[in-house]
Amino acid sequence: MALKENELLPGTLDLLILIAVETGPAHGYAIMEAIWSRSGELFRVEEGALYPALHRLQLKGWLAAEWGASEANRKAKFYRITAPGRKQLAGERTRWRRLALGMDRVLSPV
Amino acid sequence: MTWIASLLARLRGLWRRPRLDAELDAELAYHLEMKERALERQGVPPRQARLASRHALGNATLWKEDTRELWRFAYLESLWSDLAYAVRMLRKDRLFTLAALVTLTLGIGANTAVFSLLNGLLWRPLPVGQPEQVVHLTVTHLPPTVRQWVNGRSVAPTELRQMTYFMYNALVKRQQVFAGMFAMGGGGSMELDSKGTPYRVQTSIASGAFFPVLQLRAQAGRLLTPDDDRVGGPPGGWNAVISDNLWTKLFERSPRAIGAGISIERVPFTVVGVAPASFHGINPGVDAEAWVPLMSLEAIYPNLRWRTDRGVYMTEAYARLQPGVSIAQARQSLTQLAPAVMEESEAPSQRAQDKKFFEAMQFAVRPAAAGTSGLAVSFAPALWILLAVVAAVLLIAATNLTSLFLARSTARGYEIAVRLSLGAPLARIRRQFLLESLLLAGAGAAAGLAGAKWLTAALEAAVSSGESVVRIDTSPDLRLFAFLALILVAVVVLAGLAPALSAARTAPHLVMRRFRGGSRGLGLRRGLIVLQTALSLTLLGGAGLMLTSLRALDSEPTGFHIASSVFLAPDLFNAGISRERIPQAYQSLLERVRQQPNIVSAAWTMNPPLSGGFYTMTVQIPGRGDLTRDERNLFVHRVSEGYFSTVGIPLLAGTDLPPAAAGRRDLGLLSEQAARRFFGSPQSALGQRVRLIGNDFVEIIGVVGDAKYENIREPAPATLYLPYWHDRIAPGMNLAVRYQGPMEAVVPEVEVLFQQEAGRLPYTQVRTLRGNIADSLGSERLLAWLLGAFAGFGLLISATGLAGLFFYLVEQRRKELGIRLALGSTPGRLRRQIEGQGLALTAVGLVCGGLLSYVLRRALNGYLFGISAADPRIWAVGVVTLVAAALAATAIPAWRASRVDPVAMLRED
Repeated sequence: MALKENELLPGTLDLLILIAVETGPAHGYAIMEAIWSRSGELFRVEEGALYPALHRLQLKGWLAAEWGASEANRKAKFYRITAPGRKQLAGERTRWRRLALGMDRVLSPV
Repeated sequence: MTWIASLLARLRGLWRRPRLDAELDAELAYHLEMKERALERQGVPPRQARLASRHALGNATLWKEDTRELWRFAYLESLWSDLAYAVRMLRKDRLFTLAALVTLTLGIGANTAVFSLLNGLLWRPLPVGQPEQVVHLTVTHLPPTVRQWVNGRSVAPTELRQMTYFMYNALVKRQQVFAGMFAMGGGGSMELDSKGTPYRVQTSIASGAFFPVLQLRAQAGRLLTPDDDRVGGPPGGWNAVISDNLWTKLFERSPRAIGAGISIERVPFTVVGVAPASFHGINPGVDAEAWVPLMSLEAIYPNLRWRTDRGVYMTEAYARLQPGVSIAQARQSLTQLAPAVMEESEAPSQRAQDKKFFEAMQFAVRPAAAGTSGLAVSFAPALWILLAVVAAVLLIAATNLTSLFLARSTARGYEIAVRLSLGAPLARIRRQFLLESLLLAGAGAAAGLAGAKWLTAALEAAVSSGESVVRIDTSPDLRLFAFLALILVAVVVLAGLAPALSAARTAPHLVMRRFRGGSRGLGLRRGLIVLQTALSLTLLGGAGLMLTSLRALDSEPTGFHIASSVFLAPDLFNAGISRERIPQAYQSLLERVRQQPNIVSAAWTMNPPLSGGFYTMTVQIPGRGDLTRDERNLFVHRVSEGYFSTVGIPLLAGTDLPPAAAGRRDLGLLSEQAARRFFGSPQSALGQRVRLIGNDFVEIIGVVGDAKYENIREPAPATLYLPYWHDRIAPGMNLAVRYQGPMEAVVPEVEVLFQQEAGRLPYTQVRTLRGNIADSLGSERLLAWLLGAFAGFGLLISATGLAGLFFYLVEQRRKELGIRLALGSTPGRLRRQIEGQGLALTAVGLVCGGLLSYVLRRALNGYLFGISAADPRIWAVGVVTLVAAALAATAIPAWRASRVDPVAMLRED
């Protein structure tokens, strides 16, 4: 079952995007694919949510964008994580781990 | 810092919109292509793949718009359209807009004017290097024998602005907290002669460290240095620095000004430089035009013994704190130094008691970042009162605007309801109201700022008198703009916030159904009326008190009983008569003036009536050891024979002075008050002797009526009149002339005689008794008229506010009134009821106003004369005026209420 963006907790999409570009620049489609595959085909991000989010993160200064050549030798817009973006990601990661751990404990049968 | 980056990115987005759109399209096209290829790889036929990918993309336009929105100032763009809408609404409501603009312009203009004067006088930092380090050193802990004449009485001052030159020098030698010190003294309006043309200029006399300590740089030539300030002058003669203004006036800004010769009070000076254009000296209100070294004071006034006499307090001391030294530290350090400084500077032959007091004196360190000013002492209290008054007027104007806005917001209920039901966010409606009040207040502030300079000029003219022209730098600065911004925010919040909040409470469905009974904002509006009435009563009462006491002052007897006399003070010295020849010149002028056909009598006098000039002396009365020092302190006045008949002071006993030619120096006259105090009655004073300082005895040959010399509100001082030739004759005596016919004809006749005597037309100050009274009442007149004008203005706007509220109330209650009439109430009863409500509101306002006035009852005390702040007549008039205004304001709405046609009313729905 694929979860859609509006079923995610607020702020989750930003985190997913930041993780997708953590290891290197990627274009929009690749980011979508990366989220899909890394979540074990659980999170499916719609284009309608992805692109506004990408631009929003750019405005926040967490992502930088530049035009470059893609694998198919076509011009594509690549998103790269910035230093403030990495800082944000590290913070978010810890926060989510604690949240997930806590939720897991609460939900587990005693 | 990310918000800055994001702001910059957005700003770029503003003008890169086409490119942004193209990029977005390219990004999407690429996305689609990638998706199609993926589908094709999974074996989907190309055509279906394209359809499927498009389908998956969903409503691309919508989210493209979302993305685009991110990059723009959506807020700004909607703000712009709201602003346009606000302008449209204001233009639609011409009358409302005009009324609001006029009241705001007057309110803000008056506040700006008064504030900018206070700012220029008290707060504007001097245009010198690090002004916060500049301090003024004064003398405190004065001996009880130090006396000052204040308000017709001799009192003990607490602080002296000046010290002796000896104290200053001892301080310079011993202090360790100042980076530098300088001294000033003896400056004032002087005659400056350039290329044969005389000018009157404010000349500042300062020690050589003045410019270096203030860290000023010349804009042409150089400024004065300690080398210019030597006893007897530097080898090449005295040097002077002129102001930017004087540079333009005398030399048309030519570089040839440097090295040019001028003379000041007939002492030659060489111009060595021009001060910075922004620098007008360190005394706000006095526009200094020339600066000369302190030591040149001895050349200008050879008779002053400021440098050699240990008893002359004529030196103003200033200093610059060393970096890192606070005023408190400097104060502490001077406290420790003071005994040594005093010991070093005291006169050798002091009695033990005097010595103890002298050595106990202390120095105070006063911040002088904004300079120091005697004007600030006399004028600032009146300005503070005025500021409170204009602030109250602005408060009335702003609350009236709130009322108008509230009424309008109710009238606009339908419009708001429609906008709300079409999905406009509440915040946007609120913003709409705030924008409208901001627009109005902004326009009012702009107009007020432009108009403020008229009021400033009028206020300056009102406190200027004769030679002491007051010029305060009122050019706008950051402080003024901060004040304006504060006023704007206050007005916008006061006027716009209430309607904005109340509009937000609009329930669309009720408004749509034309529901009328809502009383939103009514409680607030009633409260505002109470506030306006209270402020109006306080203003009216204050204005009444000031106008009444001004009338009392105007008709207060001065002791001078003559209308047609004029006082002329010729500057004979600068016109070419040497100091030694001045006594003869006085005498020959007197004889020639007396021969003129239109002149009834003439005499020389040191102090014209009510000119403020004063010289006091403590005398001894043989056989009256019981009198205290204060009781023996007399105003000593020097006059020629014929003075009393010329100015109309009655001779009560004895005779007038003999002519100067008789050469008698040991005669004098007493005023009636002094005669009664010392000898019981005018008659018994005749033939008695009074001992002056220096052991001279004076025989009393006559007693004259009391007369006022310093200020009309003071009791006439106990006066001793001496012949002007009693001692060294001072230049600058006044010729009192009693004339017949028009004064305009007499003055030139006398001036021609001056010219014949001196060889050149001297600068002559012309004063009249009336003019002197008017000048001495400058602050009072200013306060009285402005208070009167503002009180009237406040009354007018609060009455219109009340009328507006009741029109609105009647409109709201039309249905109810119709039903009441239908049920048998009479029109008269309805009218009385409405008027009663108006009166009730006014009554509450009057009670609040009474309380407010009680709290402020002491504010005007210093300006009142012959009337108490609690005078019931004044307040009764204020109450009656406000009640009448309230009745007038509610009469028309009440009449309209009584004219409601019940049948038509009930049919309306």
